[in-house]
Amino acid sequence: MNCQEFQSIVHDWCQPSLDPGVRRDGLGHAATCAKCAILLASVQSLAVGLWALAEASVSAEASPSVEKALLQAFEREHRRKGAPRTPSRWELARWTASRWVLAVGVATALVMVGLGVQSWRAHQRIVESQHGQSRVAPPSNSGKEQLAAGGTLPEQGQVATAADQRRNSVPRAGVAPQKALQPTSELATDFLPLGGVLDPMDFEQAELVRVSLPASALVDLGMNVNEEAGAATITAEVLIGEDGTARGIRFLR
Amino acid sequence: MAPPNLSDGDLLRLMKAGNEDAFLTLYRRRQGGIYRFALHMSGDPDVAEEVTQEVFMALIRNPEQYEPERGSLGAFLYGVARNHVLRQIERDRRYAPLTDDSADDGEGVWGASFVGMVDPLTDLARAETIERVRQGVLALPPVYREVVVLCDLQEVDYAEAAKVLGCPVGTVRSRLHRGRTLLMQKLRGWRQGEPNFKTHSAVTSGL
Repeated sequence: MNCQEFQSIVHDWCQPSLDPGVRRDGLGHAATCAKCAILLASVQSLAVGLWALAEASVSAEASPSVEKALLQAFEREHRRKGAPRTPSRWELARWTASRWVLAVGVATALVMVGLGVQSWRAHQRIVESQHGQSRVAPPSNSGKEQLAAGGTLPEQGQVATAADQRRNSVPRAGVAPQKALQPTSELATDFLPLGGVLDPMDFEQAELVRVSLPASALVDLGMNVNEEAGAATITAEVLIGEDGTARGIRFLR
Repeated sequence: MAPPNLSDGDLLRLMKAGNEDAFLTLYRRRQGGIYRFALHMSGDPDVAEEVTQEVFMALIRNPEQYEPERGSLGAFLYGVARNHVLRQIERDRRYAPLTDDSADDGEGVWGASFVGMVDPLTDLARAETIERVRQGVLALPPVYREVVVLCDLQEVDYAEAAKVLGCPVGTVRSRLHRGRTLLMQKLRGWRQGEPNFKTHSAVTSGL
């Protein structure tokens, strides 16, 4: 082995992969060449120095705070990946457009429904005005007869319903029409004539006045009232004619 | 903790699926080498920690960056660490570069400079030796420093180092030889500056 060959292998001197025969030849050359012997010694010394440095730092590692920070970052990252992703601009624009289309559709539908309701109400007003003449139920003596016979108000099946009452009411100025119209769950008897026979024409210009009176007052109307019921209060509506006289009365429950 | 006998690839797969234990096992297996590589390259424990954290943060954020067909996970991590360290070095300019006028042609020119040279490390105490070698490594230009750190301190083989550095194995060898030569020159310079300089020429068989 000559010096050039020795220099080409000396850097691998510490490598275990160096062929033993080559190593032997190199040693033989170094034993006869001072320059190469010094070179070999330098390489070996350096290898020892590097090995010592590696050994001195073999236990060096990052502090626990790095591990902690990384674990937190890992948790954050995977929580973020698990969360719904942020939509792209294009997706956001498409979503916004679809919302607008939906909003316009809903608004159109609401307007159409509103117009329909308004039209129906107008129609109802016309129908009501056409039936104005039959707003008040025709008089009947059956209630008086029943009261006179038993002293009690008619049964539910025999009395007008609240809807009937509303239809039969006379909404005129000067009268509190709400009082006649308000009841929604009340039951009412037919009108009983006061001082004569009720003429259907009386209902045209009549006013309804709601009153509360003791049950004993029914005696004045010729009805039989027992003593126990005499102290009770009865709600009634009095039909007041155009001349201010009471034409009829009906009882509410 | 995930079973420690799992391969890096298995741990990485589990880690991608959100397994924190797998990440922890992988981190504890690899962080020491990355930290020491960064430490030897920068000479600064703070930088080494920062680089270690950045390397594994990159793995957390984008594990798909690692492509198994291009090399081992260890090589990939060293590569990421190298990029961070070199950027850090570029910023800090803390190293004192040695003059290197020669081309990167390896062993062709360095032998003659050792004529009449003495062994620079023989009489140094161990602690002093370690410190001087450490300083010598830090004084190397980064292109030689990284290969010396990888191959001589981290015991990464040439093929793996070539993957880390992204160069042929032959380049690794030539850079390593050149880096060692520069390092020996540096150490020799320190040794010759000492008052109790002693010549050493003993070369015994079997060394």
